[in-house]
Amino acid sequence: MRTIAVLGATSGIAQGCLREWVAGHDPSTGRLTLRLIGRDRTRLERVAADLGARSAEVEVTTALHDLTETTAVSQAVDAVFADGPVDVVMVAFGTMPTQQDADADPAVAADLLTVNGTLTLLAAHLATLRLLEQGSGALAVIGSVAGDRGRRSNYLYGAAKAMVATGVAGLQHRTAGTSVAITLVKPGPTATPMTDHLRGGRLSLAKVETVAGDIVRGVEGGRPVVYTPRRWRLIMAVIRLLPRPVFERTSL
Amino acid sequence: MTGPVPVSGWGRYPVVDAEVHHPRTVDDVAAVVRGGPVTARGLGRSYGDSSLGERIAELTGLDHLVAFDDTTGELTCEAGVSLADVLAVALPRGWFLPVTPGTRFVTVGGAIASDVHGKNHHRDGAFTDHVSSLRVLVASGEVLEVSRASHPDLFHATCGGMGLTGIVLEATFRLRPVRSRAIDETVVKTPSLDGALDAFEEYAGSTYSVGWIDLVATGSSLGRSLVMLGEHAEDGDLGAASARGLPVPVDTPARLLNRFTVAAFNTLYYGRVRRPLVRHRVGYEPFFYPLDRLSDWNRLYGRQGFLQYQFVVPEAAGRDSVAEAVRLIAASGLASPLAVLKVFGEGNASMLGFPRPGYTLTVDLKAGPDALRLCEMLDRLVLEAGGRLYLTKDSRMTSGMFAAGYPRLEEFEQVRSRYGATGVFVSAQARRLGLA
Repeated sequence: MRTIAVLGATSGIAQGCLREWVAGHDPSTGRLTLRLIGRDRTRLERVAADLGARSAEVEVTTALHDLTETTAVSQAVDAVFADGPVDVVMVAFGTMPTQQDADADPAVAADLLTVNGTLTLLAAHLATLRLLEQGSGALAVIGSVAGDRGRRSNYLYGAAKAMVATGVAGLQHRTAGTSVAITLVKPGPTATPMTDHLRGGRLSLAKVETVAGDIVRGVEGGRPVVYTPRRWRLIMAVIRLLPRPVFERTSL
Repeated sequence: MTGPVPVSGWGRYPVVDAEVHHPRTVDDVAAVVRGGPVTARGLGRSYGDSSLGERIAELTGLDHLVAFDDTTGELTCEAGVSLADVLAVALPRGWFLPVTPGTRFVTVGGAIASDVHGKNHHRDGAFTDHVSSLRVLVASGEVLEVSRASHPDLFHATCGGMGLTGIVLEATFRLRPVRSRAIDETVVKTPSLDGALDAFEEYAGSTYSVGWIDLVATGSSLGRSLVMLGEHAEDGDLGAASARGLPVPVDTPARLLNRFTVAAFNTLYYGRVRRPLVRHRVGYEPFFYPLDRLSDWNRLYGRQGFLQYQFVVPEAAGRDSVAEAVRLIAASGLASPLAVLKVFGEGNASMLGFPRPGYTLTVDLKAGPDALRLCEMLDRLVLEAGGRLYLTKDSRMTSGMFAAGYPRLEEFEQVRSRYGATGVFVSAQARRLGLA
């Protein structure tokens, strides 16, 4: 018997991870329960049906929460833990409007910061409190390599993810020495609906399956930070170290 | 949406600039269709220009399973699900694909549009023989439930219809029960084409049969073949293996594959089988998907790409036309080691379906003027024998050749017109072949 809950379950990366968990589930450990939280009923049910069809050992439940304000996030975390202990919680919701949309409308910019930063960290914080209460469990939070250094093409998104990274570091400090393990995931650009507008460009997008495999292995292994694909750890180390005059001449 | 970006089929020839859309939901698909003429594409494994056009809808985002009944093997899934994904889910639960082409990296929608066949065609027919129903988005934006009972005209036009009737959103099909992931393989070594065709007849009861033929050897070795037969093993485990291939990191210099290296490879490959009859047990991957181990094997032919030529000639035309084709290809010295021979069983009701009772031969040719000349010679031979070419492999046949090989073309066009598909669901290939 194992339970995995995902906030933002229809995101491309979340779906990839859920499929990976279903495929890797060992039936001798009992059934796998998936609790999926999302805001679009049709899409959520489509994801639930898909996961249910992938294994006879899986049970899927869904709950609708529009994770764009504080109350909804708090209610969603309550809902996740309402039916008993949870082994893994994943916080995967988010939005990615283009920088141009954010430039044109302050409300879009504010939403981008709120959903990807404040509310994501709030969800991670509330989930950690519940995991500490139940005594054990794992939490995976989707951050981004964009949070490692602000750059002109997506610094709002990057700033939100930097906030998440700092917050998760604090949560990891808070849970040190307990049986709660927290993983911050930093995917590089991945081929998901969020990045459809980048396809065919100069940037090569990682496959969701690759990224999901890395994430699930990282979470199962209790790794504090997972860069995926792995080369992004090195790339971002270099980018962080680039002297400002050099960095500002790049077109990143 | 991205683009325009250069897009090609698996043969990397031809290349067109296309605006590529990535719909993820039915509403997305409907919006793309409203936007103008569109070409459906899955994983891009058709070789030529079947999935090319100015506006492409790449449907791999429709990748959800809808329902799987593991007591009956009935699976309903979205059209962008790959056969590799179906196997990964179904094989551990005792189910295998009813029909599989030589790669598992095709989508279910693509398998339906091409009405793909496999090594069991002589016994089990083509892919759509196992499909019970489809959900098709037609030109009006309406989604129709399509089966042999409901809109049968659209069903038989869509199966094998190269995506030209509408967008397949979902399909329901029946898998085959198996007890093992392994295949009991028998390899029959034959020194001539006649020997190979005899072997197909002798082993017609085998579930799977396919021949590898040496299309470079001439003289007394002309047409030497290995006929591979297979049965699903009755025991063993069921887990599916990883679907990831080794990448081919660079384009091979085109000259690496020439008549001398190919002849050497073929001699070794043929000589490796030492006895006239060898039996052994292999995994399903090397049996069905030997090339999936290299994830980009199409790069082996170098930057200019390649043509795959596949024809079928009716049984009535006899073995002579196959023998003549083998002689022509061997004399040209243009063939690659990848050449496949198969005897088909009965065809089905797909209007543009390829298989029909007879002999089918497939060969890869490095793209170039010599290859095109050889194809023209083969075209004449196929026409005279009353045969036809496989649309999924084609990038060059003429509209006349197409019309001669596909007598139900008119009927197909009528169905397209009836459902408003004319001029809405299009492709570079369809335009070349004179389809509206």
